[in-house]
Amino acid sequence: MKNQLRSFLLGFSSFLLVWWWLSVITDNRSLPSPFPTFKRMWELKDVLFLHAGASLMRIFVALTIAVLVGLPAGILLGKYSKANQLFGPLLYFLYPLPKVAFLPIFMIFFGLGNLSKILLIFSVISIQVIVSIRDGVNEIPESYYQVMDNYSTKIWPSVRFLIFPALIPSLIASLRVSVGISLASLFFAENYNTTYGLGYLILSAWSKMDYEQMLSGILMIAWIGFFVFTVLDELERRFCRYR
Amino acid sequence: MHIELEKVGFGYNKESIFEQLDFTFDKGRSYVILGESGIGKSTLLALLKGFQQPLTGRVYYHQTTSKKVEMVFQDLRLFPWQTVYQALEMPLKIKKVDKVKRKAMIEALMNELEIHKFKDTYPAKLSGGQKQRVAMARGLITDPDFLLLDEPTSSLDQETKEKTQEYILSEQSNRGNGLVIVTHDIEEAAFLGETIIIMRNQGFQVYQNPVFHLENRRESLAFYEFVLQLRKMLKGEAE
Repeated sequence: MKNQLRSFLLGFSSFLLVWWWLSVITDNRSLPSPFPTFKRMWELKDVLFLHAGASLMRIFVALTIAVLVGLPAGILLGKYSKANQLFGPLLYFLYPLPKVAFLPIFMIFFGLGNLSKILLIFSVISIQVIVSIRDGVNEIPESYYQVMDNYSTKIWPSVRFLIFPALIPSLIASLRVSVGISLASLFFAENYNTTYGLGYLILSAWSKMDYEQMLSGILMIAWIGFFVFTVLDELERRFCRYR
Repeated sequence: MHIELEKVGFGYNKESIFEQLDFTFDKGRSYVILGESGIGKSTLLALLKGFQQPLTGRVYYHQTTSKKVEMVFQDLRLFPWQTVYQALEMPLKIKKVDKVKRKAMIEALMNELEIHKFKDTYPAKLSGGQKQRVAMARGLITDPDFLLLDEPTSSLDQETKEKTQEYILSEQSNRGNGLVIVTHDIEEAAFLGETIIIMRNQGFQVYQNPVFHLENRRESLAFYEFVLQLRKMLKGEAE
C-alpha cells in the first residue's frame, strides 16, 4: 500500500507539473492552471462526487457482468475445441469492431437510461475478457489435468482447483486493459441523454466555458482509473502471491 | 488387494511397445520397473492408474479401484499457486474430508516427511528434494492402496536421492500400500524394489531382490554385486 501511495503521489505530482507548465506556456483560459481548478473542485465537491458515483457505478456493474459472462464463456471456448471452432470466428469478427458505434442501437433497444450505457461498456469489455480467458485456459499445461484426474474426473474440481487459480493473472491483466477502454467508452456514452456522469459533466462545462469545472471532471476520471487499477493491483497481490 | 495385468498389450501408431504381459501387483509390496528409456515403463504406470487403456488384454483391480491408485509424476506437476499445505489439502477437499480431520491428516504427513516448516511455501521456493517429498505427500494423503512413482529421484543429487529413497520406503512400510516405481537407475532399483521387473524385448523378466531385507544394504558388498548382476540382466548378458 505504501508503494501504491508513493506511485500515486509521484504520478500525480508529475502530472500537475506538466499541466502547470502547459497552462503557463499556452496562456489560454481553456487550460487553467491546477490551482484555480482545485479551488473550483472544492466548490463543486458534492456535485462532482455525484457524477463520479454515477460513472463508477456504471463501470462497476459493467465490469461485474463482463466477468460473470466472460469467465465461463472463455473457459468453455478454451476447454472445448468444438465451441471454439463454432464461436471463435464470431469473436474475431466482433473483437476489432468499435463497439461504441452501437450506442444508437443499444439506446433504441434498451432505452435512454443506465441500461444502454452499461450494456455498451459491457460489450466493450466482455469480448476482451472472453479472449483473454480462453487464451489463459489454453496455456494451462495439459499434464495438470492429469493430476486432477488422479482425484476426480468431474469438471468442477478441475475448475475450482486448477482452471480458476490458473486464470486469475489473465483475468486481472484483461481487466486492466478493459478499464482504460471502458472509461473512454463511458465518456462517449455519457454524452447522450443523461444528466449524471463525468462525461456529461465535462461536456456541459465545456459548453458553459467553465474550464475549471471541465478539468475537474477530467481529473475525477483519472482518479477513478487510478482507484480501479489500485483495486486490481491489490487483488493480484492477494491472489497471486506465488508470482 | 492387487492389480492384475492379463495378457496386456500396448503400442503407438500400430507399433507394439509390449504385448501379452501377465503380472500381479500385490498391496504391501514394492515393485521396481527397470528398463531403458522409451521402452514403455511410464506407459505401464499409466495403464495401472487407468489413464490409458490397454490395446489388448485387461487390467483388473481386485478389492481396490483405480481411484485408490495414486500417481506421482516424473515432472511432479505441483501447481505453482498452491502452498505445500494447499497442495495436500486439495485431494482431501475433493474427497470431501471434513476440515478438522483434513488438518490432522495433513499435519501428520507433513511431520513424517519433514516438510512441515514449508507448509506455507510455494513450489518455486522449494528445493528439488523438498518438491519431490511434497509431490509424494500429495499422492499419499488420500491413503491409496497403490502409489505409483515415475522416476522419483531422477533430478536429484546423490545425497538427496538417497534420503528421498529412504522416505519412500519408510512411508511404504508405515502405511502398507503397494509401491510401483519406474526408474532407469539400477542402484535405485536394487534399493527400492522387493521385486524387480526388467522390461526388455516387449516383455517382462521378474526377479526377487535378494538384498532387499538387508539392514544398511548400501554398505554391503552383496548389494553392489546385485547391482552388477542387474546391470548385466538389463543388457541381456545374464539371466
